[in-house]
Amino acid sequence: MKEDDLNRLEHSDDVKRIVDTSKVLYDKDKSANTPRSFDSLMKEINRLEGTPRKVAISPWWLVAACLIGVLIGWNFPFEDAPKNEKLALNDTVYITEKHTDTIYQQVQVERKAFQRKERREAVSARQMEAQTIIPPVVRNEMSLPDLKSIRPATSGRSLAQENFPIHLLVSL
Amino acid sequence: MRIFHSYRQDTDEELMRRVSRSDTTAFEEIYTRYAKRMQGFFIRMLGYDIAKAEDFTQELFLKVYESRSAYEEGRTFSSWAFSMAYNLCKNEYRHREVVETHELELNYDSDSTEEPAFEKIYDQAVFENQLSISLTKLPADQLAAFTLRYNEELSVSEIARILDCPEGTVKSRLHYALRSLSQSLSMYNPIKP
Repeated sequence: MKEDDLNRLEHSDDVKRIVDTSKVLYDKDKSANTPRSFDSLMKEINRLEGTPRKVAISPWWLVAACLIGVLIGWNFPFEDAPKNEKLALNDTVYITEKHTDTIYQQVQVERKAFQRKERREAVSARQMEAQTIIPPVVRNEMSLPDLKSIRPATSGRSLAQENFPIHLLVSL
Repeated sequence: MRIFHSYRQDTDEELMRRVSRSDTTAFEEIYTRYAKRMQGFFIRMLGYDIAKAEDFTQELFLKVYESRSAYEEGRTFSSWAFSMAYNLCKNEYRHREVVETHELELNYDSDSTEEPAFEKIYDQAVFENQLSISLTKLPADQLAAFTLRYNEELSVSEIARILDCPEGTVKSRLHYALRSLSQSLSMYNPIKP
């Protein structure tokens, strides 16, 4: 079949009218009959696939929810309320319960460290004592009271005229 | 990943690529674009049976979703979808009873031989009604070619891909369809003497 035949037919007036009218009818049918909703299609797909439909939250819904939240928060009278409307402002408050804030826990001290330290100190004191061995005569001399001092002597007697150690002078 | 991605700017093929990755939103966009077109096609192809056309539209999109991974990249979505729609119609025709078709043909013959009243001849509403009847009487392949070419305004090459036949066959089907319609509506057409 020649292409010219089709072109000639298409350009004839009666065929043009048929084509135009069929287009009008076609568009009318399309607009008059709305297809089923997409949700029903997805339900059918999920039923056939045997999986539940995922709950998809659109980002736009999230933004809208945030905006609504901000608007509600903005209009809520947190600070604007007059002071006299505040509840129990001048009321007496009774404390009905005593509250314990801090609880101390008994902690075991590590004894070993302390014992070691004490032992070390005792040893060092003994060593010091060994280094400073003084003969008894010198020690006696050392224990002579200082006349200028007001402190008591090592023997325990206080420095005074009446208890001056005359016996030591006699022995010398 | 773009969170606020607008699917409206995407082409059908880009959307199908997303659908093949089970993107439901892209599939919804495809449905929004094509559901009405497909339903219109089914209404025409199934003899103005609206309920059946709705069922077929749903079945078609079920098939689109099921065979999303088989979608060939590079092929236009419209021709792919229309070829599936046409195959659904062909299956339906096979299931139809031969007697019913025969009865319709008889009715068609009696209608066409009936002389219309003179005042009704130029009535556009009557012409539209007769055109609808005449369209239902066309063979399925001619009706499909006619609808896709003059109502969906697809090219002959696209129709050839949809109907799975050579372009020459499409042209001859169109020629026969136009000639048949022109003849059956000649007495309702005021332009033709």
